[in-house]
This record gives sequence, structure tokens and C-alpha cells, in this order.
Amino acid sequence: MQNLPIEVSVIDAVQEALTNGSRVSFRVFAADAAPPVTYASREAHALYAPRLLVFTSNTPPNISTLPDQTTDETFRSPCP
Amino acid sequence: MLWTGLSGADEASVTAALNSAARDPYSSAGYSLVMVHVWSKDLTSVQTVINGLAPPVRVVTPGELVALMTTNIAGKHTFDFEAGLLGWAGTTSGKPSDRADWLDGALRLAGSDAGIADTVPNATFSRPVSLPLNATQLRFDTRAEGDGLLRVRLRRANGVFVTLADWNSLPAPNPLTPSLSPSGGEGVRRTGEGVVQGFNARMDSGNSLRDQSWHTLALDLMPYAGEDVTFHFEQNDGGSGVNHARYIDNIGVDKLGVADVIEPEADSYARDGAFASANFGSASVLSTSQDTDTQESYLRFVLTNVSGRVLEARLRLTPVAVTGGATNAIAVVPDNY
Repeated sequence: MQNLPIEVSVIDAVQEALTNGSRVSFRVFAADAAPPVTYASREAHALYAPRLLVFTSNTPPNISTLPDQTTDETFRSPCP
Repeated sequence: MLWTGLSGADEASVTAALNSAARDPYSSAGYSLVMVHVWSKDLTSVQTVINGLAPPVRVVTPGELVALMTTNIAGKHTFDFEAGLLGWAGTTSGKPSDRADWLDGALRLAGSDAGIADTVPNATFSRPVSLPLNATQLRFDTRAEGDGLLRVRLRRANGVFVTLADWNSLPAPNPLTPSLSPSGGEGVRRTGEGVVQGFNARMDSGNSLRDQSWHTLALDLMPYAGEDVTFHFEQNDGGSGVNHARYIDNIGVDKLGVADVIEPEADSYARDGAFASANFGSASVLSTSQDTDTQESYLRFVLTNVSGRVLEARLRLTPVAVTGGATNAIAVVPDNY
């Protein structure tokens, strides 16, 4: 449908790109003997230009439980 | 407007119109913009109108007006109806028993076809909402009285109506969790180089939930995220019983995390044959085809500003021209394409 955006999930590609680098690239192509399709490019109106939408959560990481530690309480005076 | 010589455009008429306007900050009817004909009116006229305004009426700057309307109308995404309709507008088909009103902290949609059932909703509540890019679900509570059926639709920006839940196919009354489909299903594309998946909402068919218990339902909104839409909750007579009502409460738009909107660092398309050496990097379109010639499009995005745990990522493209039916696929390619 013209002028209504379509979206496809690319989370796997983005996660891999974040692990291995700082960029991600996509190829859009006709899967079969398909007639021409044109999409708005980055040079088109901002309302229609391509966008990568990334949804993130800033939930703090889980910290595993630390086992009890035994320390050496012997006081060692500094060397004179 | 204030304009000498025009009926209803004098100071007293404008003041009276403002004082009698709707006092609902969640509805566009609660906001007014008064134009002043500067060749026949001056600041004294404006001051006269302001002096006559009732206490609840506020005079704000144009910037404040836009900010208030954006926040309270399009940007409002939760509605508990404790204090009123919150900008939801009710309409009926005009039959004697039809009602679309606020009752005890909920929306009431009621009406009867008086034994001659038809497909026209008896009562409707609607409201424009600007969906954020990370919108996932429309969540609400509902219960029925008698044989009140419910349908939920949204009107897209281009005027097309989409049915989110039809009269007899309401979703299961459990929180709807969008799930990635491993294969098949609408919107799912697979290629040998990468997998692109779409979301499918779980919908149980043949369920109209016509009982008096409150049920929490959730409908998939992700295909419409980022759009300005109008929600429509509609009630119809189910054909039996005497009181056919639907109650709606606690409407909300669920969101997923924080959305980063990333523009492409570069994009272009390639075409074989006579255009094999052409550079389309500054073209306003991206093209695909495997018809008379082969055309492929490429896009590159920089992710350096993305932080936190990635919950979801979607590539959004807007078709400009489509010749008949065409299936396109997406694959990940090296950054040095």
C-alpha cells in the first residue's frame, strides 16, 4: 500500500552488529520474478524516508550473589 | 474571530462563545483560537474579551497551545475515565435505546435494534491518538450486559479502517504477548542470507465475551506504530435479550522500551544491464525488481548511539510505487557494499 510504511523485524541483525561493530547494512531485493517496487530513500521527505527503529531497555544488569570470602586479618606494618 | 461588521465577531459574542465552550482539556473542543482582524480591531478589543472570560478559561501563547494539545490530546495514551470522557466522543445510530455516555467511571455503549437486527453499530466511542513508535498493544477492560457485541477498529491516517477485533472474534481475555513467528504467517520473509521475521498476534476466533465479568483484552498495534490513528469502540445488538450494552474502561497503549529512530548513513540501489554503471546514490527512491531487469536496494545504519538491552529492532520502509503484487526480501550484507 503506497505511503503506508511497512516494517520488518531485524533484531537479530542489529544485535549481531552491536556485538561485532557499529554498523548494519541491508539488501532489499525482489525474492521472485517480481515487478518493480520503489521505496522512499533518505533523500525523500523525512516522513517517508527509511528508518531503523531500535527499542531498548536500560534495565540494570543482574549481579550474581558473591560467596563469603575469608581474608587474612594479620596486620603487616609498613617497612621502615 | 474579532472582526467589525461580521455577525458574531464582536467582543461580547466572542467572549460568550469562549465561556460556553467545552471545558475538556483532553478534547480538541476544549481549545479555541481567536483570529483578530487587525484593520478593524486593536489590542483594546482583545483586552475586552480577556477581561470577560470566565475563571476556567486560560489565555496562553501559541506555543503553549500547541504543547497542551499535543500532550493532552494526541499524546495521551492512558484513559481511566475516573473524571470523565477524557476526549472520547460518543455517537449513536439514533435508535430510541441507543446510548454512548459516561457511567460510573467507564464508557457505556448501549442500544437495541428492537428485534430487527442490523449491522450498524448502535453506539460508538472514538478518539484520535498519536501512536508512539514503540507502541505494541491496545489494552482495555470490557464487560457486556445482555447481548452487547463489541468491535474495535482504528482509522489510519489515509482514512482506511482496520478491524482490530470483530464482533465475534475478540481475543482471549489474557494479556496478549506478541511472539516472533519462526516461520510462515503474514509479514514473514525468509532468505538464504538472513531471516526477517514479523509479529503475529494471537487471536482466538469465535469469542464474543458476552458476560458481565470484566475482561482485560489486548490487541496488536505494532503494524500502526508511529501513525496518527483514531480508535473506534463500537457496540451492536447481538439479537437476543433486552439490554444490549458494552462497558469499556482503562484503555491504554502499551509501549516497548525506549525508541531510537536511526536515519540511514547511506542508501542507494543498483540496476543491471544498461544501467550497471549508473550511480543512484542521490535518488529519492530505492528500487527493487526482477522483471525486465534486476534492481536491488542497499541501506547502511550507524549504531554507535544505541545503548542498553535491545528489545526489538525494525526496518521501516515506505513504498512509493508498486506495480501489482510483489514480494520483497531483506538480507544482511557486509558494511562495505
